[in-house]
Amino acid sequence: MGGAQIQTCLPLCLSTNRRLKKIMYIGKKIRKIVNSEAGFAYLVLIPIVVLIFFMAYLPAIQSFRLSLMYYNVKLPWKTRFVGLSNYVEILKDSGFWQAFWRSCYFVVISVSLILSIAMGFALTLNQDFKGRSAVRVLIMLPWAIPPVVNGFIWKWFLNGDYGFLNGLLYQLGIISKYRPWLADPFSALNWAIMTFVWRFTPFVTILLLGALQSIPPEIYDAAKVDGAGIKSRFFYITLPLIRPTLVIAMIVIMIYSFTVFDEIYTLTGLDPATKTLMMYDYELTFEKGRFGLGSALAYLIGIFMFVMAYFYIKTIYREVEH
Amino acid sequence: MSGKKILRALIILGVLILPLFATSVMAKSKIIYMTPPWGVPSEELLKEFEAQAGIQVEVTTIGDEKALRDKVMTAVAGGISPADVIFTGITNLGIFAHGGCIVKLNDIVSPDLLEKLVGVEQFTINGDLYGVPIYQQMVMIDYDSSVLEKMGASVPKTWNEFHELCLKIKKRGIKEYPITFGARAWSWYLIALSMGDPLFDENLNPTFDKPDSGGLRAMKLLQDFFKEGLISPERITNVNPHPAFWAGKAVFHQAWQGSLAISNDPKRSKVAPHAKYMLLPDEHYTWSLPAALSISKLSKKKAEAYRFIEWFTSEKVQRYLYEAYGMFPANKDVFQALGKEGKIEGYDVMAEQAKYVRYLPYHAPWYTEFENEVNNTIKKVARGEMSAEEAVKHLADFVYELKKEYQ
Repeated sequence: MGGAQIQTCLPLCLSTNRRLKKIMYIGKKIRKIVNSEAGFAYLVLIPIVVLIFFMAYLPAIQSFRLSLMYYNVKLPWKTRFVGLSNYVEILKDSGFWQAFWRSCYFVVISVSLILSIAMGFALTLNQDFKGRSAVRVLIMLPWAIPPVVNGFIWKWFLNGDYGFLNGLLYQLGIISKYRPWLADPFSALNWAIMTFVWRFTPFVTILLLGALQSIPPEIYDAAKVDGAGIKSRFFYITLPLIRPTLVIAMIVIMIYSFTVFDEIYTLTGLDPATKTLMMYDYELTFEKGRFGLGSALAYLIGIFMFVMAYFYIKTIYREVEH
Repeated sequence: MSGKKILRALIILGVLILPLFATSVMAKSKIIYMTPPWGVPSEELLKEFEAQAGIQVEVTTIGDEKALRDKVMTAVAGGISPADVIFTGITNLGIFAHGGCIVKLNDIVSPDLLEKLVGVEQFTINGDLYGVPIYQQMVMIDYDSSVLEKMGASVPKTWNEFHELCLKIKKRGIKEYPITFGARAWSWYLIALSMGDPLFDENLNPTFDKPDSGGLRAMKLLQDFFKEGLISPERITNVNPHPAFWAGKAVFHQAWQGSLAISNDPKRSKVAPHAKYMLLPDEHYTWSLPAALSISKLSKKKAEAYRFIEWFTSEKVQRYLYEAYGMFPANKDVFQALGKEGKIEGYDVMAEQAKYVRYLPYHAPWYTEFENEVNNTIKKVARGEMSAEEAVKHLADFVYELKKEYQ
């Protein structure tokens, strides 16, 4: 090899050597990360985090961006940044407030009905009787039904032309002719609530049943010895001891009933009588193509949900401390 | 141990990444067609197309046109192509075209193909074509002729006669609810148009709010139908009018061109074989709800998509649509051939009705919002929460407001 050749080769070899060393160093680092427990955990978590980011957070960020813009899908050329004016417009809209109060009514009635019915079921299922397991399974069934299917079942059940309820009441002689159960706006809203109550009660029943079974029977035995009746045992032992679960159940029902969509949509569509906030948001976004306003409303609903979730988590922590 | 961990991590990554890779490889000769159930060709036909063109078609069936619209809009807003070929019902034309969901087809479609089809102008906005028509669908009324025969009554020629006849049918206890019209925009359009009100003038300003306009009279009549129990209150929430007619519960039914194929099928309808079309009362006008196939703006396979559209308008597919779903072919030759073969029931009334078709401004970007408002308002009118005058005024104001925003 000539001196000139060595002179040209030397810097090249040195740089290749340096690159090799760098690659080896990076390889070592990666091996170190993979070999450590934490490093491996992160590695496995990366795909999930990426998926969640793309499927949940990215749309949420995109939606927030839209909520600050005038974005009507049919007027794409008019799209512009408008700051908080979408939020202001919604809060000034009478349609929003009507839907809001309808949602509140939905929540209040749902919470009251579900908690009382579920409590009754849980207390019954907590007793020893033959076929208890079968009854538990039967009671759980509505919870297993997807909301859309549940909505269709109720739509058929309440159909004014050939519905099951009309058929049953007519056969029993309770009604003389078939009735349109959903024609009246107030009863339409109440029936929509019923569909939700029907699906959600089993879940709360199981929650409460779990809480009831965690109460030691000795407490009841002692109370009986002291002469406490059923009423006293319920109000002074059962209720205080399952209170944390009751509160959690109440918050969960509130969150779900506030955001119920599928059942109402399948039962009555976009009927003004059952237009809750979620339905109103759907109408704004998809019927009217106003993605900006729809996103702003979604965030307003989200803020409300966030407050609910805050209380929910706080209650859970308080229960753990308790 | 570390090797095993790396292997595990690689497997997890592989499981997540491979399907994406596989999809992109497979997508080379495949297009996606999004349609409601009545736009689906048979499996055999699709296989035939695949063999002919070398293009595989994946059909995504969506329950109805509303749900289809939601999917398309959501995908487009997110910058994703919902499908390569999109079924565009006339009610979705405005929102798809103005929303940039579908491409202009002027340079893609051959003039020879368009020559063969009916309804091209309905899918044209400002000279730009957005869909290739696949079927035509006038809105009509059909009726149970056995009831009219029993009563010795003739087919009503005016809305007054129609109203009186329905009252008689109810009074005699023949049918509790003689009319089946849903509490929705279509029922109002049907009555108003046939009363001679075009609903909009050439500048798309409402004509229905003028004193004694057809729109106002139609709204009043519709309210009376509900008030007098001529239409079942069930139709307020359950707006689909067809099942009640097929169950033999009504005499008059808001139907469509081709509905007799179902109404007179004894397997599907109790009215069979007595269902007949009637020419709409008064001034006879109606409108049409045709459908077309469009190409997604975000599709990367526009040429393949067009090939599929071209095939869709061929005789075989057009005949299939008619035989399977009662959809009248947009292909003029096929339509005439079916008529000559005597396969179209009520051909004479249909041909007469076809002389009285008006176009509603479905191409206007604000029209879906207007129709949604009409649906909401009619429910309130049917429930007696709003008078016909208030409803019509509210709708007219709504149009002006929309027009201002969309200008």
